This record gives sequence, C-alpha cells and structure tokens, in this order.
Amino acid sequence: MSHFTLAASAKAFEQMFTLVRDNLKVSKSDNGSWGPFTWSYDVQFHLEDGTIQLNDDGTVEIKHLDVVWDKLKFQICFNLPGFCVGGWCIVPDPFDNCWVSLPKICIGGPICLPIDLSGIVSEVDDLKANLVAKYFVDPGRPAGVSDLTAEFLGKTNKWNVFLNPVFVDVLPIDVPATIENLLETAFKQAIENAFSWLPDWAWSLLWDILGPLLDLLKAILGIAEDIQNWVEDLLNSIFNLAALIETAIADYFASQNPLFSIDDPYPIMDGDPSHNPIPVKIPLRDLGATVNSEEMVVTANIGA
Amino acid sequence: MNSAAQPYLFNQLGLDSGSLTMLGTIVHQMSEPGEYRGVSLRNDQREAVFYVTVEKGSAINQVNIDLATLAEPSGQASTCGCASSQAGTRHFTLAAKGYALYHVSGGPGGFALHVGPSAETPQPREFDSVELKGGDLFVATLLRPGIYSVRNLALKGPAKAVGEIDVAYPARGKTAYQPPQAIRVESTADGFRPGKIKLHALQGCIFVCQTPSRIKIELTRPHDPPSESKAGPLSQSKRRAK
Repeated sequence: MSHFTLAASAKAFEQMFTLVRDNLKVSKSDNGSWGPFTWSYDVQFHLEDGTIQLNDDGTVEIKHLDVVWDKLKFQICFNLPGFCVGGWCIVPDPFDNCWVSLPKICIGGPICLPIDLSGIVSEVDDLKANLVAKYFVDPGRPAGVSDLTAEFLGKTNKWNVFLNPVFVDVLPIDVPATIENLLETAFKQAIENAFSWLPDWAWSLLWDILGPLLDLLKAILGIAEDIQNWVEDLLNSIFNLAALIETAIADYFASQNPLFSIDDPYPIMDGDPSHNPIPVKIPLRDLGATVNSEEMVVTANIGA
Repeated sequence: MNSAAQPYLFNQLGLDSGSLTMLGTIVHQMSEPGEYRGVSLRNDQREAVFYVTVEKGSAINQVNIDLATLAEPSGQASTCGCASSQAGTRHFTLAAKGYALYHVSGGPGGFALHVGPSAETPQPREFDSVELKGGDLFVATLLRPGIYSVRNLALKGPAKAVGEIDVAYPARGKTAYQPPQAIRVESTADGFRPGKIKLHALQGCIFVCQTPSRIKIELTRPHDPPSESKAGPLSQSKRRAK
C-alpha cells in the first residue's frame, strides 16, 4: 500500500496555531444568586500570545496564553437597609427589657452595583494537547455523488486535524487593587440614585447613618476577607469564569476549529483545460497527525 | 424603596401631637378592662373606626395601631396584629395596663383620634389625642438639625409653655452613626422640664404629659450641614486608610 506523508516545521505549526487562536472569541452572560445578593455578568474574551513547544512525546505545549477580557462586566444587587427611624425602647420594664418600643420605619430597598473590569488580562498557564484527525463529511453533499461532482459543488469531504487539549491549567483571574475604589464609587452612586429625592440637608445625615461604605458593603454582603480577594472569588468560583475559559478552549480547539484541513481525495495534480481538465486526486485513508520536537508529521494510507 | 415614606419623612419637619405624622407617635396606657371604640380623624373628618378589647390576664402589653392603614380594606395591613370584622373594622386586643401605641407608617398623616368605652352612648372620651394627659407619651423624632420651638397648645394664655429644642448634626465618626438614647421631657402646668433640650438628629424626645398637652414643634432656624456633607463617605474611608 502507498503512503502519504506531510510535514510542517515548528515555525509553520506556530503560524497555524496563531491563525486558529486569533479566531477564538467567547461570549457568555449568566445570572444567579449567592447568599444575600444576586449577580449577573456579561463577558467576552479572546486569546493572545503564548509560547509553543512541540515535544517528542507527541504533545504540543502552549504556555502563558493571555486571556484578554474584551468585556468583563458584572452587577451585584442586594437589599440596602438604608435609613431607619425608631425601633428603640420607649418604656423599659423593671428587668431591663423593653415594655413598649417604637415601630421602625426604614427607607431602603434593592440597589445594584455595576462593575466594569473590561480590558483586564488573565492567563492560561499551560495547555497540553495532542493532535487528533477527524473525518468530515459535508452534510450538504448530495448522497451518491462522485468526488468530482462534490468538488464542483464545493462539498468535498475533508480530514480535519485538531489540537486536542488533554490538560488546561487556567490561572485564577486577578483583579486590580483599585477594585475597592470601583466598588465603593459604584455603591455611593447607587445610593445617590436610590435616594435622589432626598433634600440637600439630609445627605450629610444619610452618610453618617450609613457609615463608611466599604464597611457597610462588607456587612451587607457578609464579606469577611478583603474586597479584592472577595471579587476574585466571585469571578473565579461563583461566576466560574476559570471553568468557562477551560471549557471554551477545550471545545474550540478540539472540535470547532481545526489547525488545518486536507481535502479527501487529495489533489496531487490540477486539471489542465487544454490537455486533461480533470484534476488528479488520491484518496486518503487512516490519516494520523503527530508532532516531534522539530515538526508536525501527518501520515495517511492511499487507497480506494 | 418605601415609597409611602419617602417624601414625608424628610419634608414634614414640624410635629403636632394633635395632628400625627410619621415622626410623631402617641403612647396611651389603657388601665381598665373593657371594650373600647376608637375613631381616627384626619383633618377633623372621621376616617376609620376601630375596637380595642382590654382584658385582664392577657399577655399583650403593647399594641401598635397604624393610623395610616386603619382605613384600608382588611387584608392590606397584614402586619397590624389585629383581627378584622366582616365590615373591615379593625379589632385589637390588649392587656389591662398595656400600652396602645398610635403611629403613622406612611403618607402625609395629619391624624387625631379619640377612644372611649364602646358600650356607653353617647360615648365619653377616655382618651383624646388632641389633649394628652395623665402620663400619656408623645414621642417625637426630629431629623433635620436646627433650632425648634416647642409649645403646649393646650395651655391657655400667658401660661402657654414654650421650650426650645436644639438638634445637632451627628459628629462624623469612623463607624455608622447611632443616635443617643431618647430624652424624656415633662410637660407640666408650669411648662416643659427641661425647657431647653439638646438633641442629635434622629434622637428620640419623649414628652410625658402630666398636664393637658398638645405638643407642637416647629423649626425656627435650620443648622447648616457640615462642610464635607456633599462629599459623602468616600473621603471618610480614604482618610481612614491613610
């Protein structure tokens, strides 16, 4: 049986990877609730950079792949206790308890803090993959037509070679230390919006009653750690964005976007209108792809 | 947001025990067991009728009667802790020597009320909010810092008591502001004791009416807010971080 072998240098492989990598754009929106607050997010990211290494064990290793968040917007909503009048004891009983207490009137309600962290960059620390070839039959190809007819129709069958991640190590998203200021400013803005009807003289009183806003926010949301850590936990563990990256990358490289495609049958000689207009093609069977430290190697059997 | 409370809480700066608004509350002790019938009035017009059963041995020491919701159809004011008759009239139960607390939870207010034994005709007024007496309490909460005058309108002629309340802005601290404990002021035939009252915003002021009283509090001169008031608390926490 005859064999078909195709090789691409490490440099060429890198260019193929770059083309595929640059086409990846992932968007997702979701919402949910966690303890005393509800959340929603709207994100989009693409990949940049990364160093590629081909290994003799047939694996490709990509390190320090940047995840650029074109959009990383989220919102947390919760109930602001707000401004309360009353609730204290009017008539104490002889046992230091309260006999009669004043009803409490509270003016609070739901508020939302929108946060925009678009532009931050996180990282896929390590992506290890092997190459997998999959045969693709164009679903638009009419049944029973010849390969030549299929080619005229633009419905040629193909061998697709995918980068199949076997290990993806996504680093947790880090948020800048300025997140405290962002949250505090968003909280203040939300309060100003919610109490926009308040007369000027009452603002000083309201701020005094609410106290330092970050302390209040921590109390309402039950934040025991520092705000920066909390937001990182929110993004990574509750929104599960690290898992989103992992799944999206694995899915994209392993089944959506092949590194390259080879037509089957494979053209080895174009048709010549003056001599023989029909191109010469060979059918490829059992195509496999692998790498070594120098290059990518694709092999196949030639057969009917 | 509590839309019923929003505008009135901050706009009704004066208080009148004979025309209750959100920041004024009346507490009346009901000593004798029996059936009582109450009538709430608004701008001198009858608004709602309610009943209070005062019974010996009951464990209910306090009943809150929200004048703003008394006239609502039954079922709307589900937090009143009362029963409604078929006609929608509210019925409250209280222990003998328990306290009936009359308040306004929202809206423009302007309520007065009187209560008397329901069995007798014509009904004598055992309690009338326009003339508090016998240890009735009028609880005032003042929000806007400033100088207020306080008068007892029930005292006639030159004996009419006039006092002064000075409400200060809270001192800005590193924690959320908690108003100090309420101050008790005696309303007597000789005037208010003390006659000059110093409060902080939101601090309660309990007038104990030993003599027939209708307490009217009016803002005479507001205090200017502290210079940093518009900046809000951002500067506070940043200062603290330094």
